[in-house]
Amino acid sequence: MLSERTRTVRVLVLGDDVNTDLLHPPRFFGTTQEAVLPGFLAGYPPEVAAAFRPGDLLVGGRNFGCGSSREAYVRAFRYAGVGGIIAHSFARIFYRNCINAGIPLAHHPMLYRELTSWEEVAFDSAAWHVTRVSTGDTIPLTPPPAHLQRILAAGGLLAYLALNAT
Amino acid sequence: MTICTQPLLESLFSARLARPVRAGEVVQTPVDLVMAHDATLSLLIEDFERLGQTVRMPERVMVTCDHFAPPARIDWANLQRDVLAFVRRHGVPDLRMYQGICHQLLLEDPRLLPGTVTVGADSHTLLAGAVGGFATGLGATDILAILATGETWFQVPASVQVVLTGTRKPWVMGRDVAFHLLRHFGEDGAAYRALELWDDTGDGLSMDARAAITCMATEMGAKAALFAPDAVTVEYLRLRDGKAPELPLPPRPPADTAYVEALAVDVGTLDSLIACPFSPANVHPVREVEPVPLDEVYIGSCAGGRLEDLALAARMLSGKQVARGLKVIAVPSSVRVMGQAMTAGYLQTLLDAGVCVSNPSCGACGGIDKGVLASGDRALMTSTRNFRGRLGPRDSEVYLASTATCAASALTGRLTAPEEVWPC
Ligand code: SF4
Repeated sequence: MLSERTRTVRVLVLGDDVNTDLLHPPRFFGTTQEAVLPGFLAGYPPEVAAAFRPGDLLVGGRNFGCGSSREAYVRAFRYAGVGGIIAHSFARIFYRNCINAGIPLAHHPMLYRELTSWEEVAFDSAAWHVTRVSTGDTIPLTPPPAHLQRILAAGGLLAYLALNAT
Repeated sequence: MTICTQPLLESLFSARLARPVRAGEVVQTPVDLVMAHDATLSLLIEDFERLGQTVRMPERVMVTCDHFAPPARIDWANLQRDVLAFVRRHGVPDLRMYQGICHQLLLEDPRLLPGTVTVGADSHTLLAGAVGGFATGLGATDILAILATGETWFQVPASVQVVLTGTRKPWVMGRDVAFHLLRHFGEDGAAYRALELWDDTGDGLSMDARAAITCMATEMGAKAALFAPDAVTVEYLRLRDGKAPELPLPPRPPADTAYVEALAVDVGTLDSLIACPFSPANVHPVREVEPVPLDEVYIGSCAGGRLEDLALAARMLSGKQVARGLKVIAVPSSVRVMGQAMTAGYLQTLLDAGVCVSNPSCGACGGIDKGVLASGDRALMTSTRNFRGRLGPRDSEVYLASTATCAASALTGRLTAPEEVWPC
């Protein structure tokens, strides 16, 4: 039985060393939805972004999100509705940026080799696991450390700051 | 409190927190210097104002306008307008309008000293570790919180010790040492780690060369990279600040120090290296790469537009002409660098050789300003990254190399190792 925090979504499987210029090229830099959303996944062939639906997950390999610190990509993720990101490992600025934006991140060493793009999974961002719809297998994920889960639970760093303002 | 068997960075944090700090610990620390540039600062302004925050320590903040310098598009001009309004509203004294690339301006700033903690809203902030402090890049939201509170958290990274020895060939530059390290680490081999570099080379690496290396440590995934302060550091700070710094030079930590890896590099064995598309870690010796024809050569960016770069480019292009029809662009990394290059005559030499010299800024490096590529173009650049699509269409290609390799290739119009045109 699926709880409320669990949603059935699809996965977009990407590889190792997925850099921020592939996820969101610098020429789409901006702050508004009109400026940044067209850059979402624009380093890939256009059909990739076209197939992506709100709530879908990005799944990648080693060093996911390496490259720039520009948070324009985080805005693009929010506008596109990225539901979460699961990777073997993350580049450090990317990791902090996504946590700060309230986008759930989890580690799994092999998921990007096991899943295929656009297959359906149920993602539980509180129990930190995914369930493959085709097989029913539940795969546990490694969640962020406790102090970062508190930021996620607040909905991101800004909400967390506002909550903890003295 | 310093524990002498600690890597430099752990000693730095131990001294700051007045207790022994080990790699892996999460520490909360005030920051000494915060940098934000026009592109990244624009991302946090709305949230900052909405939350009703004020800038906690405006004297520790540096704001640069360098990415849109000056803006070529209306939407970027609008962002810059908002940045300028923010600076006025919050009374940030240090605003650098078109003075150069943010990281070079940090390097030139008297507030940047060995042992300090610097953060920047830009990934290449690691560059500032060239003088021997902790410097790292963060995203706009983390910078927002630091502007509001004056502090942040870090997990103290484990350190890799890198000892550089030997004497470089005359055309081998700091950038080639960085490529060698990139070849060793790959794009993530130094992830979540700090590089601690000791310069035992014959003629010593200049601060310009060191900055090229700490800058490119970003592309190895490193969290920080610092050169152990030495005589070169002291001389750099003396010239920069007009007085000798008062600092004890750290002794080399003993052999049993807790490094996660120790690496020795004999720079005398290095040749000119190049990163082929589409990764800064796709490194090969220039002489082993096919001498493909080029459409653009770019000397600039925080990894390659300093005085040493312009001096060498001028020396190699003096009295010659760049290849016909080739777009050759040089962008000094700061106004100070540009002034020095002007006084020394380097800029005139470059102009006479047919180089387009543009104003200090990120220029073509970011793919948002002067010098973007056409479909199918192939470029050779001293910039930091050559990811697919960074500087233009998906079918354009960027190779990264030292200024020496770029200058040699500017003469021939194809990928050329500097030794082919040496002596010059
Ligand atoms: S020169 Fe390039 S790498 Fe350096 S800060 Fe500017 S855009 Fe970034």
